[in-house]
Amino acid sequence: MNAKEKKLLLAGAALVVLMAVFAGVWALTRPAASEGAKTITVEVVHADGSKKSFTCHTDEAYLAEVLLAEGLAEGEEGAYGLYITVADGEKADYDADQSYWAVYQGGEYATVGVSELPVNDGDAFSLVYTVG
Amino acid sequence: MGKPRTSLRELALFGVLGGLTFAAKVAMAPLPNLEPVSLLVMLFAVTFGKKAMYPIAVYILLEGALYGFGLWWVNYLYVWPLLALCACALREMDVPLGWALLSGAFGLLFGALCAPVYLFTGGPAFALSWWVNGIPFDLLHCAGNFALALALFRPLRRVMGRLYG
Repeated sequence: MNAKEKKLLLAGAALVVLMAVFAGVWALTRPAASEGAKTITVEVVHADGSKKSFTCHTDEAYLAEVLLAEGLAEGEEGAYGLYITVADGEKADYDADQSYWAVYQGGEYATVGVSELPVNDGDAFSLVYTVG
Repeated sequence: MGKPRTSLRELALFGVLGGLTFAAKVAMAPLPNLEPVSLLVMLFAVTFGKKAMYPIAVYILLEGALYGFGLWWVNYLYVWPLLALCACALREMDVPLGWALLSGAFGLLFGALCAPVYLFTGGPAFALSWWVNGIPFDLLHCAGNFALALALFRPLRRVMGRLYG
C-alpha cells in the first residue's frame, strides 16, 4: 500500500468514525415520545390574527399524525416530513407570497418539523400563519 | 490596453454554469438529500481555481432571488466558498475516491457549518439543537454526496476541462 492509498484509507476511516459519532449524538439526545392517552392543545393563529384553540386526545407519537388525524392540517410529504400547507382550513402559499405555517411548542419556535415533534401529555403547540 | 483579468467568454461561461447549477439543484430537489451542488462546486474549484467564485456567486444569488434572502441564505455565503477553498487546496488530487470523501465529509458537516448563524438568532442552545435534530439529514447528505462524487467527478472533470480548455 503506497502513501496515497494510506491517506485515503485514513480519511475514509475518519469519515466513518465521524458518522458514527454524529449518529450517536443524535440517538442519545433524541427526544423520547411517550405512549398512551395524551391531551394536547393546538392553537391556530390565522392570517388575520384570529386564534382558534383545539384540544386533542391522542395516542399518536408525533404532532404530524395528530394534526392529520384530527383534520387540523393538510400538507405535503417531503424530505423533512410533513410540510403544512393548510391549517384549520386556511392555506399558506410560500410560492405566492412567502407565507407558511410556523410551528411553536410551548411558545418556542420548533427546531424540527411536525413529523419529528414528539407529543407528550399536556403539550401546547401553535400553528402561526407567518409571512417572510 | 491590458488584457482583462476575466474575459467576456469566461464571464458568459461562469454565468451559464451558475444557472445550470441552480437548475440541476431544482431538478434533483424531489430526491431527498441528493444534491449536485457540492460536486459542481468542487469541479468549479478544480477547473477555474479562484475564478470558481464567479459561478458559485451566480448560484447563491439565484437561490436568494427565488427563495428569498432569509437567514438560511447567509449560510450559503460561506459554506459553498468554504467547500471551494478546500477543493482548491486539493486540486492536484486525481483519485475519485478522495473527492467522494471530501464531498461526503462536507455533506456530513453541512448542518454543523450552518448552525453558527443560529447562534445569533436563537442562542447556543437553539443552534446546538438545530444541528443535532438535523443529523439524520446530514448522514443522508453525506451518503448522497459520496455516491454522486464517486460516480461523476471524473467524467464531469473531463467535460469541464474541455469547456474551459
